Amino acid sequence: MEIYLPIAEMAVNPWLMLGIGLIVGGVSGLFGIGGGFLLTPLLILSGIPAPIAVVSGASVSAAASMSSFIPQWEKRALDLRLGLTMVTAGVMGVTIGSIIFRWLSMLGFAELVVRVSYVLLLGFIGSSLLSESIKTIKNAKNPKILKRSKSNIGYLLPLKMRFPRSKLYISILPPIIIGFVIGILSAIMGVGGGFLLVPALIYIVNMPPSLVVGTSIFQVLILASTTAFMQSTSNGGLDVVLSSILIIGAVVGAQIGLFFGRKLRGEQLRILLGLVIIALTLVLALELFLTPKDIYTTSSAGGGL
Amino acid sequence: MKKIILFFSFLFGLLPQIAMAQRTRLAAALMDDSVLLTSNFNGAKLTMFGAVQLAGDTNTDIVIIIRGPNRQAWITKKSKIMGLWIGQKRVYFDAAPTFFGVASTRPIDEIAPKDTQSLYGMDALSQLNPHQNALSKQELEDFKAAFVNVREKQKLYINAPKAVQFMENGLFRADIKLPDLTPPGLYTVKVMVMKNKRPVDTTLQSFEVTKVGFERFIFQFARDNTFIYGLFGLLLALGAGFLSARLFRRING
Repeated sequence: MEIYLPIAEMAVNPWLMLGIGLIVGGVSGLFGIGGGFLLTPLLILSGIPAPIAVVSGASVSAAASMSSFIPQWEKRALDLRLGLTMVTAGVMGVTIGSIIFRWLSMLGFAELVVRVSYVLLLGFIGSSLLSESIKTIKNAKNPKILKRSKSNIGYLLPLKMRFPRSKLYISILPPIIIGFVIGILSAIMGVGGGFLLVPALIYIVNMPPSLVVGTSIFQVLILASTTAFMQSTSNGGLDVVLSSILIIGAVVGAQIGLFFGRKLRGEQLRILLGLVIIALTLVLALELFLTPKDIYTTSSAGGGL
Repeated sequence: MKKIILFFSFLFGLLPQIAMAQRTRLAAALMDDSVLLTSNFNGAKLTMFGAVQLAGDTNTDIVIIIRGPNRQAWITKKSKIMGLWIGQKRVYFDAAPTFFGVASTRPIDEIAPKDTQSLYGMDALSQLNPHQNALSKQELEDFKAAFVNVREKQKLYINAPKAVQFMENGLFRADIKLPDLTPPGLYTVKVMVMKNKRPVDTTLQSFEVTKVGFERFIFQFARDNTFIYGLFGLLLALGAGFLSARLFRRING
């Protein structure tokens, strides 16, 4: 069975798209990240034109993060004040990131910067998540040397502000800088940024682990919604038939992910996320070194995209 | 079936007139004058019937050129920089056919030499109009050939050397497959009678590929109301996320 997509002007297998949505939603719910960094490459691999894949990525991230945000919101498992601080900086970051991206494309460096920074950043985050979590699990057997090394930069910088929900009295500079940098990166790399946000909230902001997922999903929800809307109005690549199928898979997957997320401990979740990120890094790194399957790529069949 | 019979009676009616004339003459017609892109569209078959007066010649061939609407297009070539696959070069085409099919009674290269093919627009390569660029002639030719190659893999540029078949009395039939990627627009069908490597008679037909119903509505709405469409898409996403969260909470208790 195939279904025709009116904007992409091609037929796809709806079951395959549903499956992709399910996987991406599952990852999103399990780790509290948007999942756009998985969805966009998966769609391009299955033959969807890149501009359609990028908008669909943002749109599905918005749906999946909304689905995981509601339960977190109801449990008040987020720090709204800290989240809003970061989102404001994040939206500014997206705006500036889009300008940087246009400038890089003009110079012809966009592809190089995006792909190399993806590999470096993901590799660093994945491996540090993994090693920290393994250390925590090992140390749990030997309670004397517990507590992993956390940054205390928030306590040293000026402009301190109280975040009662997180029981923190820290400088607002680290959250603002993190939000801003993630906004820039998500505009340049075309991702929601949740996979960067979770470790940043844990290790730099020292947020209580129970609030990390909710706060990060809040930021992803706002950034993905902004990106989806801005991209669909500026390049017209939103195919509602395709995103409806993907969204149905993603929202169901997100609930399944949340369910399993509750059964796992924090360190276990972090090890899993570390493995997912390292696997993705390896795939992306291999793409840099191996001869591509298709050296030539063309515009979509109907032209334009 | 009724349609086919009607066609044949029309064509047979033409035969005496064709025979009376001293030169080769051609008549042809498409079975359908439109292809509808519905929600389950997965390609279509285009059928054409025709008649040609052979005038004792055995060395007569039929070539059918089906052309989709021209659109802008581009092709990108990845390249290695310092051992890494990060480089890319892109060539834009001001106009390239979205669909280009050549159906014939024999392989096209046996029917006409290359220069005749490009003169009469019988090969996709001669139909590509690259945008002004700084590439060398050879490099540009490589890009054009690669573009044709990609489109051939997508079945958008096709070469069907046996798709036209003579039946009897100079009657012929052609079946051409349109792929699922078939873009909408006006298509032209040029039928040529080839003798001694040259076209001696041609006819021109057309058919339209259109989106219908829901697909057409979505496409037009997205194009005419970009802002509302974007907002609608976002609300759809957020609404679906919200609903699923509510639904699953009820299921989970």
